Amino acid sequence: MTEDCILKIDGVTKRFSNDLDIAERTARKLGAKIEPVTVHAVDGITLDVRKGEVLGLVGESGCGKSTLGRMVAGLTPPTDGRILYKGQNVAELKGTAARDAALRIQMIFQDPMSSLNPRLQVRDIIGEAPRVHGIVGRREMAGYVEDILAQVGLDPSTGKRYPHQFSGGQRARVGIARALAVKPDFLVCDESVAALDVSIQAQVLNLFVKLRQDFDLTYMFVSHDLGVVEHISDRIAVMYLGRLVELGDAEDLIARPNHPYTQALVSQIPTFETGKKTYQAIKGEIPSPMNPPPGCHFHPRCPFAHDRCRSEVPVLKQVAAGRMSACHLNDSAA
Amino acid sequence: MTLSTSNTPVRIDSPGRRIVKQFIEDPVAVVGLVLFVLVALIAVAAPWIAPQNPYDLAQLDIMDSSLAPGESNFMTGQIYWLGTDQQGRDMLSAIMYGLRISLLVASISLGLAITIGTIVGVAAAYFGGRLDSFVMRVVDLQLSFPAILIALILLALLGRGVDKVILALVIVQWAYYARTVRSSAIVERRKDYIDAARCLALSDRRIMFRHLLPNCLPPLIVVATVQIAQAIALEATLSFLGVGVPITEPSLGLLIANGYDYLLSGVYWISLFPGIALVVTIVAINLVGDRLRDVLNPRLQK
Repeated sequence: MTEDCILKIDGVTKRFSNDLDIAERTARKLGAKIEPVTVHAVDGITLDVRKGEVLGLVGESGCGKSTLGRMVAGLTPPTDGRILYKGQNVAELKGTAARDAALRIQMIFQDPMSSLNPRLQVRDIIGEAPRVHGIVGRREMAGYVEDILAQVGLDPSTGKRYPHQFSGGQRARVGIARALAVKPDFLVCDESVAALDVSIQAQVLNLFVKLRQDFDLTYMFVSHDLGVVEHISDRIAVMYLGRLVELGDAEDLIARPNHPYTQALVSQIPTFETGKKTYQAIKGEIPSPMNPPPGCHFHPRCPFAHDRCRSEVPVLKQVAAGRMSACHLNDSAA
Repeated sequence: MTLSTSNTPVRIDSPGRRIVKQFIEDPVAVVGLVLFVLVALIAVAAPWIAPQNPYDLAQLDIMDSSLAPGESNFMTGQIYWLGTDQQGRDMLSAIMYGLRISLLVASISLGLAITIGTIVGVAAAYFGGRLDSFVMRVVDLQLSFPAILIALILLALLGRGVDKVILALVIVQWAYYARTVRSSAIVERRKDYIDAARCLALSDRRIMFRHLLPNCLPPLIVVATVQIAQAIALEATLSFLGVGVPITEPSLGLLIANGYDYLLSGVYWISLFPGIALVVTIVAINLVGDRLRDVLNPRLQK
C-alpha cells in the first residue's frame, strides 16, 4: 500500500478551543470555575489514500469528516499529526514547492452559490488562478477556459456570465471547472452534491466519474449520504465523533458491515426491495464532541456495548483482507 | 434547466444596470442627484462662470460694501444678484468659490478616509485575531468621541489651513469606513469562495482586494454618501467656529460666519445665501444616499 499511496493522513488531530477572553481569565483568577472549551473535531485519524481511487468518507453531521477534508485541502492546519502528499509533509514545504503542492490538491465545495465569487465572470473565476500562477499564458487563456468549460459539460460561450445567471447544477460544474483549471490530481469533494436535486446529483456524480478517467484524478469524497458514496467510491471510511470506526472496500463494506455503527448506517439506506421494511433509527443523539463519552465513542448508542467499551478505546484493526474496524467485539469473537 | 445552455438566450442584466434602473424609479432621489450634479458643476466651473473673483482684492470696490440683493455697482452697472458682503464682495461669486473649497475639502478627505478605512477594515476582517481586536478597539475609542470634538482639538493643535482641515476630517472619518467594511467583510470571509481562493493558492492581497473587497462595497457606498454630507457640514462648522479654512479662502461655513455679525442689523444676505447653498448641497447628497441605501440593500431586492 506504500507505492501507490498518494496521500497519507498520519495521526491527524484537530482540536478547536475557544480561548478565554480577558473577563473570563480575570474571573478564573478570582476562583470562578471557567475552563476553555475544547472540541475534538478529528481525533487521531490515520488513513492512506491510494492513487486513482475514490475514497468515500461518511458519517453523521458533526463527526469531523468535513474538518478532515479541509485539513487535507490545506484550508485548516492540523493540531497534531502530519498530512503527507506523495511522501512530503505539505505543512513543511516553503515557497513555490508549497504552492505547487497546494495546487495539486483542490476542493469542491458544498454550496455551489456561495463557493463562487458573485462579482466575477465565470471565465475569471476559472482563469484567475492559472493566469496568476503562470500555468497558462495570457493569450491562450480564452481557449483554455473554453476547453475546461467543455470538459465539465458547459457551453464555452457561458464564460461571460456571472454565477447568479446559472442553475444550481451548472454552478456546481463551474466550481469543478475552477478546481480542474490548476491541473490538480487530488480532489476533496466536501458534500459536493448534497445541495443539488437528485436528478442533477446523478449527472454531477457521473461527471466526477468521467473526469476521474480523463484527468487521472484521485478523490476523497466526503458525504453524509451513504447511497451517494456507495455509488461512486472504491473504498469507504466511516467516521464517528472524530474517529475512524471502519474502513473497507465499498461493496464489501456495504454488504457486510462489521462495526455496529456501520451496520446501523447501512440498514438505513433506502432500497427498492418490496415488502415491509421497518426502519430502526439509531438510538439517541450523537454525543457532544465537547464532552465525548469515554472508551468507544459509540457505546452509549450501541446495542452490543459491554463494560470494556465504556473504558477502553478500541483501535482500528484488520478484521479481514482490506478491512479495518475499531470494535472490541472483534476481539471477543476471535 | 438544460445542461448545455447554448439555446437559451443570454440575458445579461449586470448589477450596475439594475441599480441604475431602480434608482431612477424614485423621482425625489433623481431631483437630489440633479441638484448635486448642478452644485458640483458650479463648484468645478466657478472660476469661469462667476461674475467676479472674490479673492482678487483689485476687483473689489469698498463703495459696494453691504449692498442688498439686486443692487448694482454705480460705476460698472454690474448687478449683485445676491448682494455683497461688508468688503464689497459679490455674494454669488463668493458662494461659487466657497462651494469649490467646501466640496474639494470634503471629497479629498472622503477619498483618503475611504482608502485608509477600507484597507484597515478588510485586513482586520481577513486576518482576524489580534490585528482585528486592536484595530476595532482603536475604532471604538475614536467613535466614542464626538467628531467635532476631535476635529476641534486637532485643529487647535495644528492651526488653520485647507490641508489641516482635510487631515482632521480624515482622522475623524476613517473609523466609520473601517467598521463598515470590516462588518461586511467578516460575513463574506466565511463564504466558500474565499476558501476556494485560498485553496487555489492566491496571495492574501489578491484575495482581500479582488475577492473580498468588491463584495463589501454596497454598504460602503451608502456610508460614503452619508459621510460626505457629514464632512461638508463638519468643515462648515469648523470654519464657522474659526478653526477651519483660512480667511483668504472662504468656504461656505466661513461666509456664514462673516455675515453672522450683521444678521441682526438687517444685512441678512451675507449669511443666508451661503446657508441655503450649504443646505441644498447636504440635502441633495442625503437624498441620493437614502435611495442608494434602498437600492443596494440586498434584503429589499426582489
